[in-house]
Amino acid sequence: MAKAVITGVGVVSAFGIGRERFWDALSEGESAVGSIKHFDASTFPCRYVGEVPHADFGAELLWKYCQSDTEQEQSILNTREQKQLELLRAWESEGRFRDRKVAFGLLAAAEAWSQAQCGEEEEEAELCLALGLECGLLEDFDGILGKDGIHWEKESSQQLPQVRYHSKVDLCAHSILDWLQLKGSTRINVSACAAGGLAVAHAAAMIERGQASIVICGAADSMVNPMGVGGMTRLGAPSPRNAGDACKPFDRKRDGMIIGEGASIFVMEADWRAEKRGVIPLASVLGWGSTQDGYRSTAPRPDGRQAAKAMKRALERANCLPEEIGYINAHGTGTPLNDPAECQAIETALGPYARHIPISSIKGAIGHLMAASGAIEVAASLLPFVRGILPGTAHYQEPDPDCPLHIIGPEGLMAPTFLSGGRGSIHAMTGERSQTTAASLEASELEVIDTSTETQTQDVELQKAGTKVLSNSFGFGGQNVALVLGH
Amino acid sequence: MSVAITGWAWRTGLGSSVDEVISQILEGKHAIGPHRDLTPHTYACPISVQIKEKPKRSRHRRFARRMELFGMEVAHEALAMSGVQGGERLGAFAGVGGLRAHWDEMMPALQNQQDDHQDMWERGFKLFHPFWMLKHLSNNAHALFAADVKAQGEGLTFGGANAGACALHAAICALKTKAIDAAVVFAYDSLVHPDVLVELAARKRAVRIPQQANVGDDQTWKGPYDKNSDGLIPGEAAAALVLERVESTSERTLAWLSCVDGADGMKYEPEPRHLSTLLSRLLSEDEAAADSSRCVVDGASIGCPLWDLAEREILSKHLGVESPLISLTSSLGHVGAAQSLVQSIALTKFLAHGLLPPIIGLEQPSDGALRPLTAPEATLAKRALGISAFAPGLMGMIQVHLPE
Repeated sequence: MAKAVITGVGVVSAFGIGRERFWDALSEGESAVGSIKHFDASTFPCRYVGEVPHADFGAELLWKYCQSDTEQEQSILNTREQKQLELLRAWESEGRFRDRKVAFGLLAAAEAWSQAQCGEEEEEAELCLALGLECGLLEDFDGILGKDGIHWEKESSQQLPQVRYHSKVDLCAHSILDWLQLKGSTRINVSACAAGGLAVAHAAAMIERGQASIVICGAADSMVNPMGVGGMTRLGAPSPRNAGDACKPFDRKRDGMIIGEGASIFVMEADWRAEKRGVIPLASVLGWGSTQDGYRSTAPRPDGRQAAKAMKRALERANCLPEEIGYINAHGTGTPLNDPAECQAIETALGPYARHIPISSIKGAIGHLMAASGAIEVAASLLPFVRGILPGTAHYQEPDPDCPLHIIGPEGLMAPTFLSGGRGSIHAMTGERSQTTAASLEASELEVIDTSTETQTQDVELQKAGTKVLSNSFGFGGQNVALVLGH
Repeated sequence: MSVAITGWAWRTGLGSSVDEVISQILEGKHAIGPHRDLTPHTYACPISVQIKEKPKRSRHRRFARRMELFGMEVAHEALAMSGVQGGERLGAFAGVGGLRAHWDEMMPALQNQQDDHQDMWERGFKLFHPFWMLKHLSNNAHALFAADVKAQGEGLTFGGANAGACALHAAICALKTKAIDAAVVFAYDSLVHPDVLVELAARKRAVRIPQQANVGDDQTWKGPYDKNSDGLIPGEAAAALVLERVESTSERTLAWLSCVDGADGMKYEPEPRHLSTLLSRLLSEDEAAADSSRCVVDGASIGCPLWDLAEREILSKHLGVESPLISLTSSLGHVGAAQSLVQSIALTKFLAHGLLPPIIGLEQPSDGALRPLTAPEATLAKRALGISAFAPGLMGMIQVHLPE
């Protein structure tokens, strides 16, 4: 049975465009939550989001980022490049990029494709994409909106963009298909917050089953638009505080999530194919598990039982023992209900080892990317393998007794042994052991060995830990997915 | 790989009873008429097929819209028919055509907005119903249904024009790997929404009827595979199947089912070469499919001459040039994401009856392989293939066998 490996990754996030920027920011413990800039949100009660720092996306901007490095050096475009540039210009003129996730998906897909050194032979790839809601903009109704309703009969006489209403759920998928000239099957997963993780899991399953040898998978979403922000605000889901630290996963004072936007796309292929192409995998998807709560559509099971089952199934598929997990990238939304339920689920799934494993959520730093959250969190889960760093939990300050696990503080943790894949140790990053890390370490019942040095960095050698990563996504309506990544 | 269908249900423009709808289709009846809830002459395509009945009273009606309520209804009915219970070994898979925007219900938020797009919250967004976002979530119906029946196995919600086929395929794979023991698959879609009708007209995908024509007159439009066909007729449907592994079911099996899904091309036009790819995949995955004798085909029926010709040519290479070609779409309208599930039910019933329906509106069959039926025809076939394809190009293909 083939193993699914990740050979390329592309990211668009509130930190900016590109995976290196994403990983740099996570490594430095940055947070990108801020006030909405690309539309007038001044009167909205919830104005703080994780917004991708570009107001508009046009053909020239996308072209700048979508080219591979080698292509950028060329002063004369070849035929394929010329066609691609014309395609971008055509899409811009028809209004396609006003749905921001279309641009996000394209940028991330192009970056992943380039990193994996894909070419014509990889065009047979299947596409397994998770996407968020259709996007509708007020501009779509200019000229046909009246106080008594929408005057559809006027639409043919108005100079309106060709792609309007954006109510195609699959617009982003088709853009990626066209851009990369993919010939394989396309699946669009719309399982809300679990969709991104499910898309990655589905792609891994397709490769293991031999249904495909290469899959472009991942997710794109943007609810940072008036209807998205307005609708979520009326639902009461976001934190009411308009502040950079509005989302505080696992913190005792957490009071809600923050809406985010972005995309993360992967090139996933069979290990034999990557080896044949001479491409070095970033990590393997060793296992995955999917369940449903079957409980309530608007709240997770408080006991986390089905979420725990998803994690257990992932471990079983990965043939992985709990003690082999060295890091958990949590769903961690920062809502009062989700975080303790997830902690309960982790303890149920991993037993006595749960309290030994460092856990973090990146949602405090970039917001909740909804359908794209699972995918971008898989990208974050690659950080240990590419840089030997466990990302921190932005704005985590006060441990919550209801979340009694080892939550990594904002500064993150060094974990160089993830780079080699062997068992090893985890080191605190900061010069001073932060209050939260100290409290968390005590609560975690880990054996702590101080190795003070004369340098500013005080290494704290923790109990030897595993070097596999568990990534969780729990979606609205109780769809759960867990992934195990490793070398 | 084939699985067994052990339960089903639907809501269509011809009704909700599977047996009654099948009888009507075999009699050559259809449900095509002027739009009921929209002003027909406003649209270039003023005709459609719409579900006449209203959703049943449900505690979910505050959180779910009409098509979602139908989707949940049929899922419950199919599950009840199969006798399968909820639990950790029951998966739930859903296919959603696309969240039709329901702009009109957003009018309280939209009607006072200005062209400067400032102060949007104060000018009306604060008037959004608190549950508007819940209704807008793609997997809303899936979530509500899974909670109702405690479906705790694997589950996925797919979106797009071939979402039903994607959901079927994912369920079949989960069954094959024994991750679950049974799966409820439901899909719903309605193309009869203003923005969809506008887009279909703009892309010349729907039948076009002159404004002065009498939209109630059947002569104003041509059916699929007719020489003068110029597009599809939008419809709506919700359908559900319960699937189990073949070895678990024996006498409860209604039919054996296999399914593939995929993209059929670039840009906005379906490309027949991908139909060939999907057909090859289906044939390679399903051993019984290799037997090309006596197979009935329900075509994609999108009313596009170039596609129709190529579709028939490709299918005939595997199935024989004289294989009968029918069109459920001609009776029920094009039902988008629900197409593959509707086909699974209807084709099984036609085979069981030993009778195939005529294609509604087909007067002068266009040239090409296969035999588009202009009249009811008896059949001894035990196997049928259903193709679904829709702009912008997502495709699904199902195959049903009658059990021996």
